[in-house]
Amino acid sequence: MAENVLAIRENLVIGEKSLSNVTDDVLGIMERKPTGLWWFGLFLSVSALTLGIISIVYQIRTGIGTWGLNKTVGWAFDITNFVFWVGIGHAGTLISAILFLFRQKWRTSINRSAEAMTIFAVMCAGIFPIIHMGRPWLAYWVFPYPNFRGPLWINFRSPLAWDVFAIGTYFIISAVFWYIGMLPDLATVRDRTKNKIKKWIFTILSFGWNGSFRTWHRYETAYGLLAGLATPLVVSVHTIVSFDFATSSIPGWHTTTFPPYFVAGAVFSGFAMVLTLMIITRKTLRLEEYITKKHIENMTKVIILTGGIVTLSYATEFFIAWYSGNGYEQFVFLNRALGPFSWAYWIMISINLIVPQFFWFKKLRRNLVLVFILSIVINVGMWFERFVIIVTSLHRDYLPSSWAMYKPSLVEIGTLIGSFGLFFTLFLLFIRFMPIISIGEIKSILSFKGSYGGKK
Amino acid sequence: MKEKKNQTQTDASLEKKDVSGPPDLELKSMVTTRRNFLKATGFSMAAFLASCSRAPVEKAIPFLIQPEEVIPGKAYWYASTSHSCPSGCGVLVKNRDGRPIKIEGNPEHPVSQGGVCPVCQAGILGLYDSKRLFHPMKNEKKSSWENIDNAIAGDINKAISEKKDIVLLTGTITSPSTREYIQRFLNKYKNSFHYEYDPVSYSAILDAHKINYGERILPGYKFDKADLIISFEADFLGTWISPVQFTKDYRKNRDVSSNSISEHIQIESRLTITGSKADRRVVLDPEEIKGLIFNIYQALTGRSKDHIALEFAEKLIHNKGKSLVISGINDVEIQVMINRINHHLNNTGKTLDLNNPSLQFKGDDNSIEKLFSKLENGKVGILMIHNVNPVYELPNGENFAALMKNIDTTISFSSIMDESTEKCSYACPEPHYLESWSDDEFNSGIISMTQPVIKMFKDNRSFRHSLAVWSGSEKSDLELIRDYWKTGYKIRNRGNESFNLWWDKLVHDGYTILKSVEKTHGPFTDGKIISNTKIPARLTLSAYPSVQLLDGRNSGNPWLQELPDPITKTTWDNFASVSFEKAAELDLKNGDVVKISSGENHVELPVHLQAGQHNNIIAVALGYGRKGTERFFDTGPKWIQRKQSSDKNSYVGKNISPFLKIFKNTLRYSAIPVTIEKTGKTYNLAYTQTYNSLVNPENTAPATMKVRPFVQETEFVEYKKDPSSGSHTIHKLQSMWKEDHPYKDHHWAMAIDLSACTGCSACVVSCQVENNIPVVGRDEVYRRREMHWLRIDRYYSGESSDVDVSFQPMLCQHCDNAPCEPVCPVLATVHSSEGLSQQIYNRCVGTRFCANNCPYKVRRFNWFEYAKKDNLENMILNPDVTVRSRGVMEKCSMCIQRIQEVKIESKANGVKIKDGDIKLACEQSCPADAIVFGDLNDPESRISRLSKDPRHYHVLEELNIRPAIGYMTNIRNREKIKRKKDHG
Repeated sequence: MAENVLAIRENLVIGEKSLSNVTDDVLGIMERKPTGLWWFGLFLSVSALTLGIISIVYQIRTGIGTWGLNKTVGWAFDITNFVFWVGIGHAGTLISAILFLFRQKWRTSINRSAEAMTIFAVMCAGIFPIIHMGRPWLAYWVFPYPNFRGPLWINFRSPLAWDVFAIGTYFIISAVFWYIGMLPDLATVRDRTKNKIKKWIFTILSFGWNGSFRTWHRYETAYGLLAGLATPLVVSVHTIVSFDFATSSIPGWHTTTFPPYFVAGAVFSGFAMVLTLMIITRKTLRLEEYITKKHIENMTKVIILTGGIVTLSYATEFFIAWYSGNGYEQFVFLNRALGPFSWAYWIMISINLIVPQFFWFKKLRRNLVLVFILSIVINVGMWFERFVIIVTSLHRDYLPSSWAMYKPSLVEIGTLIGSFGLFFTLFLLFIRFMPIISIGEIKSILSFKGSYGGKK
Repeated sequence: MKEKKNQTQTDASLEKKDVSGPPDLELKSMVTTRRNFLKATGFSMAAFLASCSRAPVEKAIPFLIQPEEVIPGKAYWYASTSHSCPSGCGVLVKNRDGRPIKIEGNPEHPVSQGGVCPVCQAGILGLYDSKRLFHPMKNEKKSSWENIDNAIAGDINKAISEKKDIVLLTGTITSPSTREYIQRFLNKYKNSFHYEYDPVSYSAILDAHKINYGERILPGYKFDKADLIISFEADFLGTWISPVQFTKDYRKNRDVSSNSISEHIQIESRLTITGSKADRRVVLDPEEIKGLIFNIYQALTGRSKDHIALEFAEKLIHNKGKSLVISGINDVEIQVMINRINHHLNNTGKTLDLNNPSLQFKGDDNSIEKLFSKLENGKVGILMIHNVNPVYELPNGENFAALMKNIDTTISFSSIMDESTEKCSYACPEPHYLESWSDDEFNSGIISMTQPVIKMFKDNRSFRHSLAVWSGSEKSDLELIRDYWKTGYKIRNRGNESFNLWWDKLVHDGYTILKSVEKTHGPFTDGKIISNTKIPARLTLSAYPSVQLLDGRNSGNPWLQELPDPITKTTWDNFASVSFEKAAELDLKNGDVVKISSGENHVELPVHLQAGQHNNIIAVALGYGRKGTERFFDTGPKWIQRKQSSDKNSYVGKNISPFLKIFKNTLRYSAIPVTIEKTGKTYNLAYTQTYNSLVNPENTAPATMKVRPFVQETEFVEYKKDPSSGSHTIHKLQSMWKEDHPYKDHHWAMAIDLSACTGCSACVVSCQVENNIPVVGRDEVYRRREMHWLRIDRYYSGESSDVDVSFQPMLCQHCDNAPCEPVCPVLATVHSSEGLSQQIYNRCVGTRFCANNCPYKVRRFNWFEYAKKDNLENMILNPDVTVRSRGVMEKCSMCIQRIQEVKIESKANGVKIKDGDIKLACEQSCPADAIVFGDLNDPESRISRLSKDPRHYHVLEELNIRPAIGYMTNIRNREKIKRKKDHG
């Protein structure tokens, strides 16, 4: 019995799965006809995506004036959404790379989808720096490439130029890491399918995987190296994103604590998003035996930790503002808490401070409905964190004559909804057409008894 | 400047050649080739009416045959006189490639002395107004002058045969020649009458002088000679009589480097820019002001017990002969008292010049009533309306319109389809002043010349010319003026030059000084005894001319509509200005729409809460709600969430003129009893500044900084003791970096004297014209997206009636360590080797990071494609400055095109650039000379001296971004007051 083998630890996969059970369970999702729920989800997502496309096309045709920005508040929804989506991505990389290096076996059931989430989130994030430009058709000017305009190079001192590299690197490494990790499973799909077209497609996608020792060996080596490469990205990407603010001269932005603060916030919101997705996925795709309550619990623990760091950052900011004796700095923080945007600030504080505290209790951690709701609430809170940082620092900066308010326009709201549409459309397509759990890896953590023969 | 002068000198000498034919030399060397023939043709055509521009011939000639004075790409300047408002400032008109593109002050003009106001700056747009009337019209149908002249000749004969009157209704006629031709017209047609009134009337001052001195005189005010100025409701730095001239003069006696400066006390009921600059400001309602004037007079003659009056009287006696007491209230009794006070203090002849009076306003409010009684008798056969808009302006304008229907022939000379022209049977539109000749005597003895700087666009004719034609003359407008002066100058000339020489110099200089036609005023008499009746406090309306629109004659000008009011910072609307206390009493909030009623008149206006205003008054600007402004209903970009400023046919703002009262023979603008009630509606006014104080909001103010230290202020006595008084902590700035930007050739910088700046906003419009800054419309301004590169920040010290006001022009600070520069990912904003922060529009992708990172928030983004497709209007665009497209950032360039122009010239001529050679647009137009631009590398330059002055400081110096724009501490001439903690 399993209990005898692993008495102190819960099994990571329950239900005494055999190796073939695993293959059947995971690939079965791809082979079955999609459920009505899936179609409904896809319909909603594509509708949202369509709204987003309409908004963006309209905005690019008419001008950024269709957003609610003004002479004082030059960034608001655009960069808020950008930072939000980049942050979401971080959990995926942390799960797939760092937890891999630390040999955290529980990651295996969720790393594939978490990484997919990373890639989709970075795609959503990548839209915003492009469309927030006044002349997005010239966006390629931010890349350094030999040209006939001088040649005219980019400004390597600009944090926005660093962003280009950071996000670019992040997307490429994540995509490669994700794809390499998928190779054995793609080969499994190839081998199982009877559909000729599907077989042909997956033959190409699986890069001639033959399951030999040498293939496995090279695969493991490459995967390990990529995990090593991706690990610093977990820290560096959001650090560089935070430089957009930290290197500026605006009180409330000009803060040296931003890099760790942003990274912790990113992981915090990313894990919340993984929770949201996993809870839906395990329920709708009947993967409860693979993504167990233990997984959920582990992730909530990460949320407690990162939530704590975020809370500490909020406190540090206030302390430093007071300690600095800088009136402008002090004003910005008082204005956050008590000024015209205090409602946004208190949404942020109440969520990000209080919500993680629920997860101290095992009973609550295992209450999936509650965890699901709280995971969404956390992301609302984290979205507001970025909104608060960006808008409240700008709207009342140095010269009172320029103080202004900000109100999003319909186009901005449409674009935000559209980014969620894109994210969920991609994710729904992913769970339908790709093996969403790493079959090869999950087989390695099955309990002994089940792995041989097991229950049929 | 010299260059410009020479340029015009050649023009003037061409004029001379015109008389005697081309010089021999030219003819002798001419072999008649095709080229030479064409040259000769071109030359003689160019020489004809030489001071005109663009080949001033009847038919335009392409540049293949280039007119002599036009060098492509090079600007040339003509001296002229502004007619955008009745003050008549001397201007230089900048022409490029044949079209006028900018107006600047003529520094040699004795009255305006190089300053201009925003109205004058913006006036040039009127030339390119495609909604102007370009043809004579009969019954709203296009006609020709020939037909019109014949028809009007017939109408005149008919009126004479029917023994009906011919009435000429005009504003003040400042042109001596026009006056002459009016006189000839009146002489020719015996039963014809001429009435003059001014929409913004100064009739009471004239009438008071009639009482006291036997002659209707508007005295010449000498603010430069006055050590003590007490002004009762006269906004002499903003709108009163001749604000540019007064600002120039006022500044002369306010030089803080001298041992004493004038003291200025302003007693007013609403906050004006003059009041903002005053050393002491007393807020009283119009009735109380009247009482105070009486009390002061009584105190002077030893009979008052009112302590303020006694205090002021003491000050006045102390400054006997060196003080100036003025009042802007159009009330004869008040003006008689003012005259008595000034006479009692021996000011007359010293700070008030009765021998060289102002001729800017001669209108007589009596004439309005006379005119009405004439119209009501039905005896008028022909009514001619020139330079006024009685249907709109007069309190009983509707009656006037009704009476006009009974008149057989009504003729308007207005060049826009205004309320009165609409009701006229004939429209005989006048040309814009930039395309016509005129001679004006705005100030006694100074003839200001207006010359066409471009060929008349279409088919307009001046009032003078039309009258002369109808009196039987066949001469051209120019000939009419020359004819008049051929005799006129003989009588009044000071030397004995020939007429042609005199004329050439007049056209070239834009002005000449002649003997003034002396008004032989009688000795002072007290006039009848006036008793001061006390009226209980009540809510009254004060209608005032706004700095932007004055009486509304320029309300069709989008630049002026979008120019933020210097005090309220509103655009595109007028409003009911109410004090904070009164608003609290009536439970009104900013933007609540109220109904103001007085008798039968009602008007609904949004409320604006105003600090520094008396509780008993509601102030509403004149000049709004005028026909012609319906064109602005869709000004601005079109997108789904935009709010149109108005319905298709409604006007910008509301007309308040029906509320004016004619009382005791003068038109009253204030003390009009009204009632006010809430309507429950709200209306968002478009402000460019919504937080009005340097004091942090109470609930978010940190203990270390209650007030932001951006405006430094001190008192004159303190300044004399310690020149650095008023300065906040001096920052010891250190840098981690090597000083590796030596700025070898030039290091441009600017200093703005906050003591001098009156907030008049001439610089704002000047910058807009010079730099092709678009108008974005009401909705965009409301969304805080106005494009002005230069704005004037206005801060109050509080909300009560007793506030201090500070103005701070804010523009790109061209920081040496500019925060905007390192953050641009594509290097679209870079630092020049001369210390300028430069924006490269072509390279900008529009991330707006630079604007976010700018501590001064002076960068402006093109949220939409703001350029318009009005081909006529676009002729105003400065060809030296790029028209920015959508999606790029822009900001003050320190008029880089002007710097380059002078640099190129100095390089070509091998002459070093002298301090003052480069004048930026803002600097040039400033009537207070508050802005100084120059080269810090030149130790002799004014800017180098100013930057070492203890008054000099930088805003946000502690950020170590090293701005190139410095400010000079504001100094008020008053006792040191204990600064309250909430003082801004």
